[in-house]
Amino acid sequence: MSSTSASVRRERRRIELANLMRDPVLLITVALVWIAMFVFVLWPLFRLLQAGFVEKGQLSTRALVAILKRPNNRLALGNSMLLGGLVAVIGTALGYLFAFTYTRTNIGRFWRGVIDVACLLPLISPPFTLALAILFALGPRGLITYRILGLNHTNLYGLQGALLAEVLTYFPIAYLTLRGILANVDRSMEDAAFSLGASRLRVFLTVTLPLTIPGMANALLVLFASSLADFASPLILAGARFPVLPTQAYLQITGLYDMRGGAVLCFLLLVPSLLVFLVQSRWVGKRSYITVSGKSAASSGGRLTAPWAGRLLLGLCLAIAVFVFFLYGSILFGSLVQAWGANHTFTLKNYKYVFTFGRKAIKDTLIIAFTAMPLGGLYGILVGYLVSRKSFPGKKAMEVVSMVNYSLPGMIVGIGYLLAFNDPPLALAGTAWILIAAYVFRYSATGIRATVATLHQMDPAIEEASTSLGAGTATTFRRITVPLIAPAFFAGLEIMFIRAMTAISATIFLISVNWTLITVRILEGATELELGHAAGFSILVIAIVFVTMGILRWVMRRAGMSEYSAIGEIR
Amino acid sequence: MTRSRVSVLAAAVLVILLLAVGGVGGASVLDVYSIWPESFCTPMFQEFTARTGIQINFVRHSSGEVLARIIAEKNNPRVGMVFGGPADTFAAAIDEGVLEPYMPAGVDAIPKGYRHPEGYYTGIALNPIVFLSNRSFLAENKLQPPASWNDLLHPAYRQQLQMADARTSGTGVNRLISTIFAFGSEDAAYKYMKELDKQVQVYTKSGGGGTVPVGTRQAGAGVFFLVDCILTQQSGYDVVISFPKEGSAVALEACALVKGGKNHDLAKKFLDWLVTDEAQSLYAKYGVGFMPTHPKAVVSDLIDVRGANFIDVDLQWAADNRQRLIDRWVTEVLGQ
Repeated sequence: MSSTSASVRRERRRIELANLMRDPVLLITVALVWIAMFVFVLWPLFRLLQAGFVEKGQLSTRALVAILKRPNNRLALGNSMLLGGLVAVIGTALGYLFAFTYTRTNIGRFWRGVIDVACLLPLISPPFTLALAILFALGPRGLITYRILGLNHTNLYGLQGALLAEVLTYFPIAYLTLRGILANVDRSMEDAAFSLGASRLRVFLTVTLPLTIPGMANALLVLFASSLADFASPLILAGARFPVLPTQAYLQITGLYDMRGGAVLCFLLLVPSLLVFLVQSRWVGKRSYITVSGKSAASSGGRLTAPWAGRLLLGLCLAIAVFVFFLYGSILFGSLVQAWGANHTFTLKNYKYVFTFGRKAIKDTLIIAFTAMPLGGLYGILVGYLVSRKSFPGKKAMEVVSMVNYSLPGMIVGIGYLLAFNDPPLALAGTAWILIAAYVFRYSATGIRATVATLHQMDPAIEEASTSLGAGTATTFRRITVPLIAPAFFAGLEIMFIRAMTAISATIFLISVNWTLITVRILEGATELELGHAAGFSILVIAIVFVTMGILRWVMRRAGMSEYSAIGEIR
Repeated sequence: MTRSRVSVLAAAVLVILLLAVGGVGGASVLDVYSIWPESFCTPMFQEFTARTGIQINFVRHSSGEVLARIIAEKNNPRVGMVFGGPADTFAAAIDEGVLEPYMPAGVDAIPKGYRHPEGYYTGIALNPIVFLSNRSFLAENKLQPPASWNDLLHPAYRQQLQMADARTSGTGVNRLISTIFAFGSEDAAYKYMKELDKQVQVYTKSGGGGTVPVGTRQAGAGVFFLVDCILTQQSGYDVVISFPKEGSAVALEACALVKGGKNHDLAKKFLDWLVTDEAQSLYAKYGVGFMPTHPKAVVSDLIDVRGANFIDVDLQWAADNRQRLIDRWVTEVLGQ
């Protein structure tokens, strides 16, 4: 029995190999993609593990033991798990609240727009922005805690501060995931339950809720992983008493000059991240391809909620939305005053600074973002196409490897790149290419997934027809497949651009004298004295991202493409 | 037709971008890691460029990060020189073999204690550890500005202090060293720091990170480098600078050549200029709160150090013990 299945497998592999040999374009493409993946995904990861666990040519756990011996590193591991768990649960609950309100109440278009904008802002804003705004609103002398509530000794630093910042940063991901799921839940099921006489609560508990459980599980995992990887919010708000792994790794390297220790701390981060990745791709990921929207979520879904309940839910959402708007408003305010928190005279000096001293960072960031965008977009559809339409040996492995950099916390990817590309022959450190490569191989995951999902819904017969009429792989891909997956391509471009404008954890170790990034300038401003500058840079990034997204969507509409909302894929 | 035009256009844009990405770097450009914040280092760079035409390309990192970087880049150095930063960082770098000695022309004008005897680094400014407090915080609590390390243990300061994390910040390290000299022994200093820890709201990543919170009254006071405190005053925050009577460390801000780095000829010209009184008088001109190492350079009138008791630190000792002191701070004071 098992020998027959083995021989079937062997036979299939033989056919795949033969196919590959007969199709030189495919052969070369697969080979090139594999080379790229070896160099930019597997090699850095290998170097990271080597730095952590190989000493003088021998495997050694000495560094691991030394790191684990320190109570604060064990504490950091626990804290990271705790923070991640809380962010996942609270963020998913908030996301559910927003998504449910959006799809299952009779609120008008205007309020749906308000909810959307409140959720979009955290997704496209650079790191540190929310953390800083929270500090000014809720800190020991914050506007809300002290001026309005009159509290004298609030303590924001620690779990509470980091939790608040991360929940607000990441709940929109849960919202977008769950909105897609809720919108696609078949209404006739709910209607059937109603006509059988079930109460609203009963319908919700026995029909709607169970149908959205895979989506919730997915949101929980994504949020957990996002929190685990987050470096910006804890750096500002967690303080020394609540260490978490990414900040510990950063301090280990930048403060104690201990690359090995940093690599080991990253390894501690790697284990739970990979677990999440496996669970997600094995179990949840298969069931919910949430990205294919198109179906309008804003249908007349009010039946499930009583009018009063709808108003209550909307009220809750608006309370949170207002808080988000207030925080972003305070960033704008901070960018327009002399000394945020002390002297509130209007000034444009921060923007003057941004556009003079910050010009290099802006120029570099834009060059890098606009280079990474097309390269990443192409890589995304290429890999997506290969793994979903072509058969060749090692296809499954390619699909997994293509997601690795994306699933790992940015700090791991960044340190891996630093170790792998510092010395010849691959001395990319110090050039723009190391940054571009980091973005392309990390953030093309969205493009890949979107392409796979699109092709999944497309009948392969269309392409087969082309092939049987004599077109080769290249021609078929260019003439048939490309137009069909263009929306996925644009989705990939959009995410690539947003991430290139806002990422920090993967790139903080990769900037150099010649190439720096706006986000690093924001980190600088946030941790040095220049909060006004940090605020100015943040507003600039948000504006650039908004304009670019607008242009991309306009192009798509002009070209008659359906909009493909991939923004929920951000993390 | 239109599609092909679009793809031609896209290809053209891509090629231009790729050229832009590839075509950087020139001959008379000096690459520098700066530890001084941008607002302090750019005036110096611009003045030097105005005089010599030599362009300076820089990126700013904290002292620990710069050290980590030049060590990591040992086999393939990216910059010719490190600009600014406390000398104990440089002393640690000597042990790693990543610095190259150079005696700038005219360095004899700089007192011997402010430069490395073999020229591994040269001090261009002095920067003492001081106290910074918020004036309204002091008034609310009817306190005088702190004048002793022990004043900071007063109950009014509970959860009201911000200062730098010794792991990432040279300011933090110099604070540790200050207390060791002020209290006469290491054990006494760590005992004090453990008490002080209860007063601390947050340890910031960078040395100056806590000054704005003190300015905005998020915190009541803190321990910082003088230069950051003066910047805070200059930015319009109502803060007071004071000095511990037991004494505090004076950090030597230094520059050094990176071994094997690019364009050392340019870096040497820059160093020759940096040790002149003309160059060091620019701190005063630009309102930067550093004290010059050159005895004839103009001292900014923003700096008033009456009543201060500054301790010159033995840099070799500091370098040899830096790592151990930080480790001890992490385990004993942070209790981790």
